[in-house]
Amino acid sequence: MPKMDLSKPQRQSPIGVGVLFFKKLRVAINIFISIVVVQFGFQSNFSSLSFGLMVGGVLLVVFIVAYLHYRKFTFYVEEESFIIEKGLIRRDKITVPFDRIQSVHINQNLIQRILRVVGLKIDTAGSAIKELEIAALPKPYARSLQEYLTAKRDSVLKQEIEIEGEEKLEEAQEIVSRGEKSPLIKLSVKDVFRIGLTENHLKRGLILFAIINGYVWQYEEYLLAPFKELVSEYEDFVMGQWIVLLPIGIIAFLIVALILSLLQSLLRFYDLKFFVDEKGVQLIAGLLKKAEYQIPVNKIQFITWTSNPLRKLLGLKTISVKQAGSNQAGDKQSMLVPGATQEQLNVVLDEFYPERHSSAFMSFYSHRFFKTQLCVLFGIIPSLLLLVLWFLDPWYLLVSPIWLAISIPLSIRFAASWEIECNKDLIKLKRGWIFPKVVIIKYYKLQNLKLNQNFFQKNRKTVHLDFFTAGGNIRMWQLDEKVAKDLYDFILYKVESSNASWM
Amino acid sequence: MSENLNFVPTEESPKSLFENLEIDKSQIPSIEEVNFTKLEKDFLWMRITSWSIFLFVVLGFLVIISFKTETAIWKLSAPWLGFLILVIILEMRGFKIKGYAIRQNDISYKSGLIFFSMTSVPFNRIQHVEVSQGPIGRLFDLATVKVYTAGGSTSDLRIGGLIKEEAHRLRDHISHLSSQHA
Repeated sequence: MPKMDLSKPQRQSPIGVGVLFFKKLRVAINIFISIVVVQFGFQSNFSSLSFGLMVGGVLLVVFIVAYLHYRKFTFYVEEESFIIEKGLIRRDKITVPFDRIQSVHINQNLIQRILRVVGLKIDTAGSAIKELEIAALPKPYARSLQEYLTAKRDSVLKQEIEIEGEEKLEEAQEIVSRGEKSPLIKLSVKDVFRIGLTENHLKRGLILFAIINGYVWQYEEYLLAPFKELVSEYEDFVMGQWIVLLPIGIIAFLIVALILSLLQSLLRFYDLKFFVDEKGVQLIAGLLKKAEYQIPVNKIQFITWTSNPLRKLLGLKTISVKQAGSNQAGDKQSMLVPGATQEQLNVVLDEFYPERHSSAFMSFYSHRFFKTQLCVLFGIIPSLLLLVLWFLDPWYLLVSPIWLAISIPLSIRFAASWEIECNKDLIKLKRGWIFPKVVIIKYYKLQNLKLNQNFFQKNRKTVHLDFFTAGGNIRMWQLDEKVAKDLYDFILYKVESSNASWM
Repeated sequence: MSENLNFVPTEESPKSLFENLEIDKSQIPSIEEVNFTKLEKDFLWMRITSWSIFLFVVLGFLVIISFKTETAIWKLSAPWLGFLILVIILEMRGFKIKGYAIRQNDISYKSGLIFFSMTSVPFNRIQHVEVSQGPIGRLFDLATVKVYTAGGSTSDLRIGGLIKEEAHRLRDHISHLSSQHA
């Protein structure tokens, strides 16, 4: 354990003023821009003296706020807890008992990288405590603080365990540094590009469209006003040529989505290193913000892997490791590793799920009612609706059967792809055909089970089966009632008869 | 591959889940054979009361609207009264389905006429147990026992319609059992 004197309140590095300054500035700019646009529109003279003064004033205020926040932010150790005090107007004192610390992360965003400091973040076992982040520390200091806190945590846990007379220390231990080890997955710039190119562009494009749409409406008056005459002049022309313009629009849309995918994967997965060993997993990645993230083996709740048609061609899968945590925190609980080959996936599975070889799997598929249900929901009903629209435009008479012809086979294939496999120790849930997804869970990681049967399912004798874990929920759709009840009894029995800890 | 996509167990299906995994089925308790304890009859009245209160509040608004717009009050309120009757019928039939069961290693709850669901929580997964009582519950002296797991809020098990003393007794019993299993 590194020697550290934390009995007196410590401040972060003075560079913290800079980090805080940019953080607050970002908030200020967002507010400022809205006010300026709404107040003066785009006609305002940005070079005027009053505007300059205003900007200067805002910068000064932000700097003072950042400085005061820096002065008022202290951390220290008291009794068996790590304490952070912060806040200008509302003073917060956050106390974290050592044994509640789950892990300590070090990360670095662009500003921190330029200013040559790192941020330190503490994850706790409880969901009630949040925002435990120290914005600016010199890297060696952060490292030793990280080691100090984890060592303290371990020694406190050790004492508790000695009192209880149990031998659970292994569970409490954690990976601190894996510098010398070679990563299982290491992505070169080329790999990152390949991942970016094979992203699900459709999904990303739609999200982008939604965001742009939102922004455009917000500032519509100012953004579109100068083009109003132009638009009205060409309106008839544009409307008449939509058949030509639509494909151009779609191509433009795809290109923008592609560029965004590339940018995002570069930002997020640049220089990605993924480590796996018997203690757990660790991920280091990022271009501007270098994130370092680790999950100890006992905290892993389940693992999923997904693919898409483009990635399938390259033989790449995305692995996602789900960690125990509060559901509110959402996606932060999972570690995403793109660009894994089947061999690399097998290494991960053999490390954490050796039981998959110990006994044979038995598989069950969704009931055939599932196919009917999906065909009706996504095929027949929409195409009937399209058919009804024919009086608006005769084109719909053609669109409706096309929709039917496409959606029915897709629905049937999708329904048929749902499969649940069990052996003596784990379940595997497979679904999807174009975007396949597989989930693997050990029985003892399950929290509880739920069986759902609605009015329609009662006659068909089918049920949905819900599996709840601390890392998220999974549903198996439309299982045969008898199979589901056998599974329900069997899985409950497995959970209840296992002594292994889920955490 | 398409022929065996549907696993529908029939008499001639070669092996059941248990046989295939070489597990003695008699070892595994079946949830179907368990007798579920029914909830207090007052719980039905409590549910009907709270629905009625809700609908009378709505009716109050409807009266105001009918005065303002000079529409006949029965035109506005008839659908609501029909809805109340439907709800009461559904509640009465649904009440027969609601129930809880405590086995050696877990606790289960089932409910739902239109959307049936059954949840089982093993004692060794219980985070904590809580008794709560709302204002209408106080009128009927009924309380709810909530069983929390780490599986998130959608997975929590709630047993409504227990007499308050009984609810406290059940909570103590469950926490005792869960601490034994921890």
